[in-house]
Amino acid sequence: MNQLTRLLEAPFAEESTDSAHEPRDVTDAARTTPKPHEAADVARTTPKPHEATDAAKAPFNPRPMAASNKLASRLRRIADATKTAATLREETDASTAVTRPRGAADTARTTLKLHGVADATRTTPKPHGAADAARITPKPHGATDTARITPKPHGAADTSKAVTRLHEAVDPNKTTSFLHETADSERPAVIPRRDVGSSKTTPKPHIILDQIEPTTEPNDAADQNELVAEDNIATEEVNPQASIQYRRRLIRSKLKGAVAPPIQPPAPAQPQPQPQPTEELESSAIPIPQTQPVVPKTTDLAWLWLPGTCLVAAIGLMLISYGYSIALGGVAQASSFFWSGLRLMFASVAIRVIAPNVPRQERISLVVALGLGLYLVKVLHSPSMFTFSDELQHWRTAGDILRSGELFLPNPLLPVSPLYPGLEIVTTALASSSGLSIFASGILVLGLARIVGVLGLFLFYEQVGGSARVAGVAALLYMVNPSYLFFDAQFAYESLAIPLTALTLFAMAHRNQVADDKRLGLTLIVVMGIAAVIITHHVTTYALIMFLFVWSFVAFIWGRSASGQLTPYGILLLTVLMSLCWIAYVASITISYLERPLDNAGQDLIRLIAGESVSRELFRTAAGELAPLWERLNGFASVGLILLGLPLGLLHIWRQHRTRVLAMTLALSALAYPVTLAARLTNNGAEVANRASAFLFVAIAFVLAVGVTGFLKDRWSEHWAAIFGVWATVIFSGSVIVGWPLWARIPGPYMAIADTRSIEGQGLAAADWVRTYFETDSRIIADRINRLLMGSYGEQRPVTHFSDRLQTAQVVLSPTFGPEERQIVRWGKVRYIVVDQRLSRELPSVGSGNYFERGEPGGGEHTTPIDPAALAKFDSLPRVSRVFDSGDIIIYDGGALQR
Amino acid sequence: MSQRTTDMIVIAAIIIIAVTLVDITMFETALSSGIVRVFFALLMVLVLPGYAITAALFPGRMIGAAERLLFSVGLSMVVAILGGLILNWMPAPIHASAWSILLAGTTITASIIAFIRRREIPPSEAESPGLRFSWPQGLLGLLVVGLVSGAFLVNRMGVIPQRTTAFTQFWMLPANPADPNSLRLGVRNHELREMNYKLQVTNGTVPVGEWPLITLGPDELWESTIALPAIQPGMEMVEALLYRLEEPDTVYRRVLFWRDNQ
Repeated sequence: MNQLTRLLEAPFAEESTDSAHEPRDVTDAARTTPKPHEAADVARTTPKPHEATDAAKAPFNPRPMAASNKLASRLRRIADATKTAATLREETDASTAVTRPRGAADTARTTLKLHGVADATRTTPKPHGAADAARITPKPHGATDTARITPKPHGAADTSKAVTRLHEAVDPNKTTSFLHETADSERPAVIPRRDVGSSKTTPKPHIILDQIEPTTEPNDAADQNELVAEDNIATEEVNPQASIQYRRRLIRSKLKGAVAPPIQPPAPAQPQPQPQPTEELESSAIPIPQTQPVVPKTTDLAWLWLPGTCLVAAIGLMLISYGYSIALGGVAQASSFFWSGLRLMFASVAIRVIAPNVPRQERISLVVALGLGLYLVKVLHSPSMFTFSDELQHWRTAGDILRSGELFLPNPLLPVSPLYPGLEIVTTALASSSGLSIFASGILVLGLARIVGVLGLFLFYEQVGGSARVAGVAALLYMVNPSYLFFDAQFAYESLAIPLTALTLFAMAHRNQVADDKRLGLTLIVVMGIAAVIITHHVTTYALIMFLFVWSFVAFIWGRSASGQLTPYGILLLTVLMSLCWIAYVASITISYLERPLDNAGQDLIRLIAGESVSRELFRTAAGELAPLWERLNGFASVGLILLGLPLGLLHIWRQHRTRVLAMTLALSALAYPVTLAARLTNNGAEVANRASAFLFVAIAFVLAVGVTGFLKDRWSEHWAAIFGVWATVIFSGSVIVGWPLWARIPGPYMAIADTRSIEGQGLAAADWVRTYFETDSRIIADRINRLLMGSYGEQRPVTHFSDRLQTAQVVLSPTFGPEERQIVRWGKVRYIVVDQRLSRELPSVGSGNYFERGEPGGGEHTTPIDPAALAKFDSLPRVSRVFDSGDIIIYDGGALQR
Repeated sequence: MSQRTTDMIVIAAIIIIAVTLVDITMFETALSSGIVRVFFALLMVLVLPGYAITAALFPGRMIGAAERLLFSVGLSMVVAILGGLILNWMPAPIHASAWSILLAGTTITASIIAFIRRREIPPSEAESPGLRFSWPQGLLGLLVVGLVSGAFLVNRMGVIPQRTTAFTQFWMLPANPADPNSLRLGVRNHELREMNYKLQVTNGTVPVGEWPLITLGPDELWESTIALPAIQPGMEMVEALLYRLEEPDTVYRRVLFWRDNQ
């Protein structure tokens, strides 16, 4: 065998040179200044690991090797298959014949399987593939090659089958069927370098699909069309290359003797049906043998899927818009339009994304379209102004930057906001350059951020899971997190920080897949991305640090660093240091800002566990409104389906991806989900759990996607698409219910202390009037809603317990204005008191049952609205002028009380 | 002109136009709020810096369309964030001209680096991959855009009026903080229809001013200043009452002001 191999090595260089005569290869072969790695390719006989990984990665750099090298590697593989067959004939008894047609590609596949078989048995070193297999050192954490060769449920890598396939191995006429089957199947797009081998010796690159029969260069390297091109190449209707290949194979078969079956000359060009784009891994690594049923090929109307699905989703958006527009007349009717539209949007995309034979580009387009569509659901909710409480807080920061041209000016509504000004910087950059308002600029910035977020997650999942199908499903399932529809679409720092994190995660994951000389650019992106995240949002930064910590932990435990896999230790250290510097020099109040809610949530949870308190009633608002029965059932079903899906996903990750550190990191992170469910049972914990979902679902979505795609692997049909669509839509709608109360989902009539539902014309006009007639940053006392309006659009300076440690709510809520209230006004240097008469008619809907803020007298326990007499007491106070009256909103001038 | 240079030249042209528009419109020309300015500013802030940096970092066909889009927009935002921080350390305020210098400088510098790096690689690898759509897909895409636009139209007709409530604002403030003898009165009609008001002002119990008819259309404003007699020692309350003529006996809005001479 060694002699045979040596014989085969000799012609490689010649054939590589010869390849220059092939028209397509002229460019590569005739380059006068080949790049270093290309030059090395020509000379070497054993590809280096990073080059192989380059070739394997998707979608980057799909053609890293010169064409001559590809030819050489083809020849090597064929030879390898042959000699391995001979080895196995000696070592095993392959008596069972399988008549299943196999092609040349099968040769490669079988060769790989047999590498594993030979690992354990043969001792003769082989020049390349076989020798590599022999070099692999079995490791306790699972040498990946061995793992792949280990018989799988499908029986794919079963040794006996593999051996019997060798008998059919070298048959160029049977290539097509295999390629179709492989392309349709679920398979890893990229075998990370750590998976390639576990020893410190040069790991053997796995055979890459596009190295099997690459005879033409696709136009778009990163496109799914590339795979189509490859499939087309494999079928080769008009086959000028085939005769050349045939001659080479013939020569090789003569050299090798009678191991392989007779090679048939290439069939004359026959018109064959074009294979359609199927699974979209541009350059897949080891083709995993499949026993799954053949997936129906797409038809000539396949082009309709993308625009058709978008059309259906747009109709869903139209329904939602109509529901919004009639909400004033009846919320119940509007709600039915809202849910119909939302489910139509989500389900239409979900059903298509789960299908196995969808081009990668279409999957990306679909999830991006859905992400944008869901963003528009929020935009349509408040199409003319920011109305969510967080939005008004950040509007203030942006307004200050735009007005003063400076960062870090104090924001009385949210003191921590100006210390994380990433979103406001981008928004004001656009606003000052374009002349648009902060609102319009913010809408545009967040729309583009949504695209970045969806794309970043898709590409990140694709790197981790090795499949565009898994990536598409995971990106889709990330959208079911309770924060996605509204909270992370609002004008607030998290809405930008998460997309930037997705971008950074993708760059980090992709660094592991590229050669050393190409890492610099990605490293730069990672560093810049982390810096931007740190400047933009505190919690996202800490979530990123946690993720990097878990990643480092898994990498340490799995011990993959020895195989050349990049570890995140350096990035973790850098992120921690940068974050600490930011806290130390800019945002020192962050700790105290975050400490309170986390501490409260923790204490609540401990009290609940200790039985010292009862759990909060789920699906009931602070005003006592209980969600309809179907919503409650849907909410529970959503959580239940996620909990059911997680073990399935974890099982499949263990089976398919346990050698991938990032996949295991996500799996480990997803285990935190049940803890957040427990936190939902407490008042303070519910909000923390909601906020955490945006980060946890990065992991949960991946685990569920792996579980779903793994489950459907062998049992795909259109029925399963529908079942998946229903499953995902139930989770999605349940998450919307859990994450956002009924009244907040749909615009409608005024409600007291109900954030978006409390923002209406009178309050806005009062804020505008205040901005016109009062000095900027006059100190005022106001309820939660008017505080937001006066502090943002009104440009005033609210005095609160949160920022001033003064119980200013008492001034308004107290039935009388006594010395204590007078002292608060004096200490707070309060000039104006805003009174909203509507608070005497309704209980608060948000703010944990507070009219002003947490800790107010009777806060969280109001059973009746505020006494009207308490609100009217200022009319009878001497020296307190009633300077403004718009019916419900009265403004008093308390400046004289300072004296 | 090869494809490897085309996009860089287009970027340079767009940046020059964008900077020109931003700087010209600082002087309040006709383009100060035009859609043209918005379009070019959008590219300058949120697309081109990232595109140019991506081209500089990955000069060949190393990345596909999706990755290029991700990096173009994402890195543009990152550049703006980090650039904003740098601008804040500069003595000049962070305004439009500072942004145009920073973003244009970043984009052009990165474009030059990309241009140089692309010269080092074969032409076939320097071509940027693009997205391809058939015309039927384009037509259906237009239909989707039409539906989304329709959704906004329906929304605009239905949702915005929901936040519009009918009310009247009435106020009374010192015309001059240093002079308690002069007060400014104002009424703004937000009733969504024309309104007729009557206004009476009393100093203690003494009438000091009356406007029997104030007619205001929707969103119209009425303001007037009233001079009061010199204040006596002690405190005096000035009260203003606003009536709707359709209900002349019912006080519709009430404000008061304490004059303090202690």
